[in-house]
Formats: sequence, structure tokens, C-alpha cells
Amino acid sequence: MEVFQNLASGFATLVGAGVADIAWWEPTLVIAGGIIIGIFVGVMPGLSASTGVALMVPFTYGMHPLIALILLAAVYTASAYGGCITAIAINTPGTPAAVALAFDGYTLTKKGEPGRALGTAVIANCTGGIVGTFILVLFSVPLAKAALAFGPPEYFALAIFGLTIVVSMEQKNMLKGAVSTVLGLLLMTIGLDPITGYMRFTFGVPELTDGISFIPALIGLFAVGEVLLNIEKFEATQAALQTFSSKMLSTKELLGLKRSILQSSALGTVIGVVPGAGATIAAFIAYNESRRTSKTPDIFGKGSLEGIAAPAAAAGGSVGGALVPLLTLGIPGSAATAVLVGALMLHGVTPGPELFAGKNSYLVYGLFASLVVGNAILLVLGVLGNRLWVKIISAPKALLFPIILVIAFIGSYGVANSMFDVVICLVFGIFGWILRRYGFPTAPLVLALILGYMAESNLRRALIMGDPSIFLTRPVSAIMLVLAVLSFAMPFIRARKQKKASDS
Amino acid sequence: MIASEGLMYKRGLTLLLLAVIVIAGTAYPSNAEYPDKPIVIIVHAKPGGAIDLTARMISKISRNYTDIPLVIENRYGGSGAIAMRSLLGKEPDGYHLLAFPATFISAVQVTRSSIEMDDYRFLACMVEAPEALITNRNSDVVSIEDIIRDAKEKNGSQIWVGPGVGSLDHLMAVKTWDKLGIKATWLPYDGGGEAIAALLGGHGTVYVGNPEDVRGRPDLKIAVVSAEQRLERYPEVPTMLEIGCDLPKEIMWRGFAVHKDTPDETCNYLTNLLKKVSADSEWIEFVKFNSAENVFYEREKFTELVNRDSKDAVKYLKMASIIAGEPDEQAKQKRLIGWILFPLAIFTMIAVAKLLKKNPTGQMSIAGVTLGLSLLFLMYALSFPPSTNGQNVGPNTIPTIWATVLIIFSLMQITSAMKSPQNNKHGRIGLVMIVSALMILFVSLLPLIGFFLSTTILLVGGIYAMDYRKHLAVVFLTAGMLLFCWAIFIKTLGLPLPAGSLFG
Repeated sequence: MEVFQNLASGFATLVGAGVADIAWWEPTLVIAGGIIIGIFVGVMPGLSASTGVALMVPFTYGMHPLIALILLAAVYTASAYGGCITAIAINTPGTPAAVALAFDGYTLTKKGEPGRALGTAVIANCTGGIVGTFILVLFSVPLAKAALAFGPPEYFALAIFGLTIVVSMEQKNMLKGAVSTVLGLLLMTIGLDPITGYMRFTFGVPELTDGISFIPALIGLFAVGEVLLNIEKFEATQAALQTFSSKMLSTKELLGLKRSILQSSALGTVIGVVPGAGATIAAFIAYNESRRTSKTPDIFGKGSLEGIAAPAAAAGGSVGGALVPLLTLGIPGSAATAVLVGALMLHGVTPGPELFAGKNSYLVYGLFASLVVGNAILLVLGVLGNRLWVKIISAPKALLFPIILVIAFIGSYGVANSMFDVVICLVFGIFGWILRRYGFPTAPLVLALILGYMAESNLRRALIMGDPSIFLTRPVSAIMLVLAVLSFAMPFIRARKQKKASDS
Repeated sequence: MIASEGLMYKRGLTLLLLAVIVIAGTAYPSNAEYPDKPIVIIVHAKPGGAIDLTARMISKISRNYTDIPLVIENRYGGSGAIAMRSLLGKEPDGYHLLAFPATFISAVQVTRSSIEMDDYRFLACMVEAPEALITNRNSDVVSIEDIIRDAKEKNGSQIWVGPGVGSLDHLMAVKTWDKLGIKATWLPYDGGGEAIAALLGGHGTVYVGNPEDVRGRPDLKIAVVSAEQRLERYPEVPTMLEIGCDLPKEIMWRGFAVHKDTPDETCNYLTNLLKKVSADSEWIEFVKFNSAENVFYEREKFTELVNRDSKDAVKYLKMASIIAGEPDEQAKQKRLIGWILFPLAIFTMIAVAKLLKKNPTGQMSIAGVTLGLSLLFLMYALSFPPSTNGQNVGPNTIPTIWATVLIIFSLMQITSAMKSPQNNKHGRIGLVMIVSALMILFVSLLPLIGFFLSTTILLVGGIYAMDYRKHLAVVFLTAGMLLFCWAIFIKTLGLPLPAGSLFG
């Protein structure tokens, strides 16, 4: 197999063989450094993978292109995991993809078992990363071709599918979930109309031209809202009583997650290939699929380990997926890989199919090998880090809460260096507290802000291309729309069945 | 005991104050002779975009000519309007430069952002790249002759893709249709990468961009380029004039501007610095690599270029029916009704609840607010102009749908809440109010007194509000947090945190 020979040569490159000016220890050290920075980037709400990678670009100016590439790839890899940590530990997803992790992860933390949740997340995430890398190495060309077939109708169907999953995740109170979702969809329409450029609902505020930016909204709804919710229940004397265990999950539990992790890793990679769809939808679809195929679907949302493993594995896999269109077509598959393109160009390297053949092919195979090594290092650091995270959340709440607030505001500011985003974070924070107080879930609101744009702009594009039948005559979009209807209707059908069963 | 604690508190406070002063002092050195502190380049695009890379390259090369670092500040939003306004909000002291791409010209018109070009002093235009029509080699339409033939066959339904509405590339498309006498449809994407993916996937026929877009993507072919001579790198590509299209030189340019009141000597310093960069071999290499042209137009010629493009933009945006007029009387009335309905809906809900002898609970109130909000949005959406280009879906369609759905869901929620009112347990609302007040104080003080002081207030205030009384721990925590933010955000990542206008 030529592919494996190439991969082997990639590992050789990583120990400095065949490349002048690189010492044998340098790549591994750089990967480890990148992983640590990446974890930090993911942990900070507001510092998304793309911002993190972009902030590292200036440091790579003087570096060898290979070192620069593997450093940035390591930051990207680890930031996907970093976002999971805060979602589990303090119910504040560091990245949009990690929203799906908060459901079960934070529930386990509240039960005093953050160690098990974090352990599951890191193992699933790294497995996802490695599976994703192998899929990238083996199937990148056919996958990229399939991704190109994704036109506006398919993107629209994917967004609708994602939205129905989000609504159906709120099984406790679908009506409140629906109000929350549609509110998010309505707020999403603020700003320039994606097709005609008409200004909608900006009420004369120039900062609203591009709409409500969802990262500050997410930080507000989750981080600030969560802190306020906890402060309301705060008892200074009782605060010390809650103890958190850093105990990991058992080997038996891990083996039980095998199917969920592998299935979600593959799903995450494949969905990550579609440019623009990315990790967020991948995480939700993986969660949904995992619940659908699980032996114990009832404990999803109540601290299920599968419910943690699925989105974490999908997020890990999506990194490899996003690299597929980048390397085969020269088109970035995500915001973070777009920055990677820019960084490579500064080094005089153009990403794209020509990379595989030319004199720079060692870069591609070095990158593949570095992803495998990076995920292995991430696994070790992640497992070691668990104690640290558990220690941090065991700190007195009176100290922890104000610090979370400060970090939330820095994160919001850092998204675009804008004071307006800090205000958005504050407004959505207080709003999120009120919503959650009365049982309105906030996750659908955030997801609607993200997916609503994708749904509208692609619906409009599709209708420019042809008449409405286009959604049903194209097989991929038709299948996804049918799936969307099913996933929306399933909870109702299930509820009716249960009711019938209990009646008789 | 009390006395010693008081002493410790005082000592702690002094320590804290010292730490703040030291940090604030090193982070923002005081003024002397220009330039004695970092010069900020404001970039409107996200990190990794073409203009961002250009600015970063200039920052990198400038290190050869000055000790003063040039730092990049990404302020995206409003199609550039946020960045353009941001510069005008700064002191005209030459410490803020605006990376000024050609796209700003039409963006100002499209967003109706009332920004005047006369408010800027155009220092230097440094990069020029010709506009080009790009096709997919694997499709039936490759050459310019193919494009014209296919356009005539499809009679208006040929699809041209590119970034944005009313963007430079969109205008180029409209100009080409006008001069060639053909009809086609513009399908806007959020970025060039997405549009190229659409071209490769066969969802569009022509992509409008620059020669740099085809580099590393062997499936793409430049059909025609709007340059005076054929390109050195692509000698087989005809120019617009050669194919009988009167668009001799349509260019995308990138330059730099400062506030119009910036002193002459300061402007001269900056112009000279940019001139040195422009002559640097690394810069020449960088520009050439992007198939662009390295130019240096100083103030006069650059301003002329801006004025010419502004005139063109207005003409062709009207032709593409992008520039909409002000809302007419009828539209204004609808909007006013919306503002009346908003509070009316909430009051009606409360009145109905009282009539039915129910206490308006939080659940009802939230649904009441979403009801009012959706009525407001609905009335606004009804005031939007109907679709302009003969489609049945316009900027008003999607908001109308979501607003209607939200009205239905809100009413359902109100009814269900009235049927089975749930009374929430009240927690420590007072504490939540105090923390909320602290956050509002933080957000309003942030632009005035800067990040470090306002963070100290939020941290210390929040901790004491939650009855924590170990003063020394508070001091160390606050100092540690400030030091951490300074080291990570300002020193390592180069994220500019607000310095506070009071300290300039």
C-alpha cells in the first residue's frame, strides 16, 4: 500500500529524517506545545479554533514550513477538545460544537463525577481525531468529490435536519424548546440580508449590520447565565460541601462505548468534509445517531457516557474531515482551516492537490503523521489534566464565579475586539438566566442562531437556481429532509406509544 | 484578631493597587515623540483573509525598518463599516492605520452607512490585482466564447458565483453583462472559498475573482482577465479588450488610510515606512506569488482612484438594483404599528391573566415578551421591499415565516402556562441583582478606565458580594488573574484589551 508507505515517510519526517534544518526532537516538542496552547484556546470561551490558529500565525513567520504547519494543526486539534472541558466542568461550551456535550457532561459534573465525563470526552475526542486522520489519508479524494456535490439545496436540508435534532433533544418540554428555537431563528434574521444586501431589523445600530454574532451570545447564554443561575441558589456555607471526584471511567465502561465512539468519529469526519457545515452539526448529528442506536436511549440527557462520547468523537473527527477539501481542492473546510491556508501562503506554499505530488509532498505526509502524534499527546495530557480541571471547579464558588464572568467578557471582546460584543454577552447573559429560570432551554436558541443563517441563505440560493421542487428532486437533499421530518416527529410518536402502553 | 485582619486587608489593598499600576504602566507606555508605541493596523476581515495577510506581511517586513511594532487589530462586521468607523473614532495621531481594500467603496453604499470618503486621508495604495472571470475546466463552459454562448442559450439563468452582494466582484459581473450585452444571475456566497467550491461542484458556471484564486487549484481556468496586457503567469488568457469587451482595467486594490486630521509629518513617516516595505524583496516576492501587481500610489493618485471607483459603484449598484431607497410613508407606518404592538401584547397578556384571576408568572411573561417581539419583527418584515429581481422570495419572506411561527408558539405557551401555572421557588434574587449591577458597571466602565481597573472592580466586588472574606486570597487571586490576562492576552497573543479612554 503506497498510502501507508507515505504515512511511514511522514513519521520519518517527524523525527527530522530527510528534512534539513530540523532537529530530531523539534517536531514532537512543537506538537506538544501546540497541543497545550490549543487546549487553552478551547477552554477560553470566545477563542474559537480559528481565532486561536490565527493568533499563532505571527509566531510561525521565522519557522520552517513543516514546523509551522504542524504547530498550527496541533493548536487546531487540541482546541476541539479544550471546548469540551468547560462544557463539562462549568456548563460553558468553549466552542459551538461542545454545546452538545453540555447536556450529559455537565449533568455528570453536577452528580459529582466530572472525572468520568472528562475522561470519556478526551478518549473519545482523540479516537475521533485518529480515525479522522486515517479516513483523511485513505479516502480524501472520493470524499472531496462527494462534498462538492453539496449545493445550496443540500446545505438547506442539512441545516433543517440539524435544527429538528436540536428541537427534539428537548424532550422534557418541546413547546418551550420550540419557542426558544424560533426565537433564535428570528433573531438570526437581524442584519444584512444574505442575498439582496437589504438591512433588516438593525434599528439604526451599525454594529447589527452583520447580525448578532453568535459567539458572544453563546458565552452570555451559557457562561453568564449559568453563573447567575448558580448565584441564585448560592449558599456560602454549603458551597464547600460539594465534592468532585476526578475518578476516570472504568475499562469496562470504555469498552461499552466502543460502538458509539467509532460511529461518531466516522460521522464527524464525513460531515466535517462538507465545507462550512463543520464540527457543530457533526456533533449534534452524532449525538442524535448515538441515542437512536443506543441500548439505553433513556439515560441520554441524564448523564449518559455515550451522550458525551458521541459529540466529543465527532468533534475530533471533524478536524480530519475539514482538512479533506483543503488538501484535495485547496478549499478550506472550516474557519480554522481557512486560517491555515493563509499561514501556508505566507510560507510560499499553496494548499491543494498539487501538494501531494510536488517537492512539498513531505509537508502533507508530515502533517498526517503529526495529527496522529498530536492526538496521542493530547490523550496523555488530557488524562493528566483531568485532576487539574476537577481541582479548579472544586475551588470556592465565590472565587470561581467572578473569574468565569471576567473570562466570559474577555472572550466576547476577543471575538472581534468589539465593545458591542461585550454588551451582547451581558444582555444575553441576563436574558439566558431568566429563560433558564423558567425552564426555557438556551441551547436551541444558540444553535438556531448558527444554523438559521445557513438555512436561509441556502434556501434563497436554491430558489435562485430553480423552483422549489429542487429540494425533492435532488436525492441527498430529499433524504435529509425526510430524516428531518422523522426526527421531529419521532418524540411525538414515541410519546403516543408510551401513552397507549400505559393506558392499556 | 480583627485589627490584624484589617491591617492585612490594607496591606493587601496596597499590594493590589501596586500590581494594577505596574501592569497598566507596562502595558500602555506613556507618550513622547512619534512613534513611541505600537502602531495598530485595523483590518476589517477575519484573521487569515487576503487583506489580513497583506497587513500581516507588512507588519512582518516593517520590522526591518523600524523598532516600533505594527500590530494587527481585526475588527470585522458591517462589511467593513465597523472597521471604517473605528478608525474615525480614534485620535488622529497616526497610531491607527486602516487597511483599505477596494471593497469598502461599494460596501459603504450597500450598507448605507453614511461614511464619507473625505473623512480619510489615503496614504498609499500598495497592491493591485486584475479582476478575472474563472471557470471550471471539467464543465462544458470553459472559454469566454463558451460563457457568452451558454448565457445566450440560458437567457438569464446562467449562474455566476462570487463573494457577497454588491461586492467588487458582483459589480464586475454586472459591468461585464452590461458591456457584453448578456444576461445572467448572481448567486452570492459568504466568501470566495465557498463560491469556488460551488463552481467546482457545478452549482455555478462562472466565478468572479482574481488570478490568485486559481493558484493550486488545477481544475480552475481563467477565462478572461481585465488587464491592459496579458498576464505573465497566464499568457494564454485573453484580456477583456481582446474579446471586445470595453473593460480595460478593472482592479481590486489594497491600500492604507488614516484619519483625515492626522498631521503631515506623521503621514510622511508612515508613507515612507510603507514605501520601504514596498521596495523590500520579500514584499515583492509575496505580491508576485499572489499574481498581483506591486504598486505604490501616494495620496493624490490613490484618492483619485477612490473617487473614480465611488462614482462607478453608485452607477452599477443601481443597475443591479442593490441600493434601496429610504422606507416610504406606508413602510414607516407599519414600523410604528410594530412599536405600538410590542408593549401592547405584553400588557394584554397581563390583563387577560388578571381577568382570569391568574398571577402572571415568569413563564407567561417570557412568552408575552416573545409574542410582542415577534409582532414587532412581523410589522418590520412587512415593511421591507418585496423581492427585487423577479423572485418570489425576498428579504421579507423568512422573517415573516419565523415571526408568524413564533406568534403561534408564544400563544400556545401562554395558554399552557395559564392552564397549569408553575410557581418558581425564589432564590437569592438580591445577590443576582448585585452581581448583574456589577456586570453592568463593568461593561460601562470598560471603555473608560480600561480592562485592568474594571476587571479589578468586577472581581473584588463579586467575590465580596458572595460573602467571601479571606482578604489575602482575594488580593492574590485578583493580582494573579490580572497578571495572567496581561501575560496571555497582551504579551503572548497580542490581543489588544481596552486600555481606557481616560488614560489615552
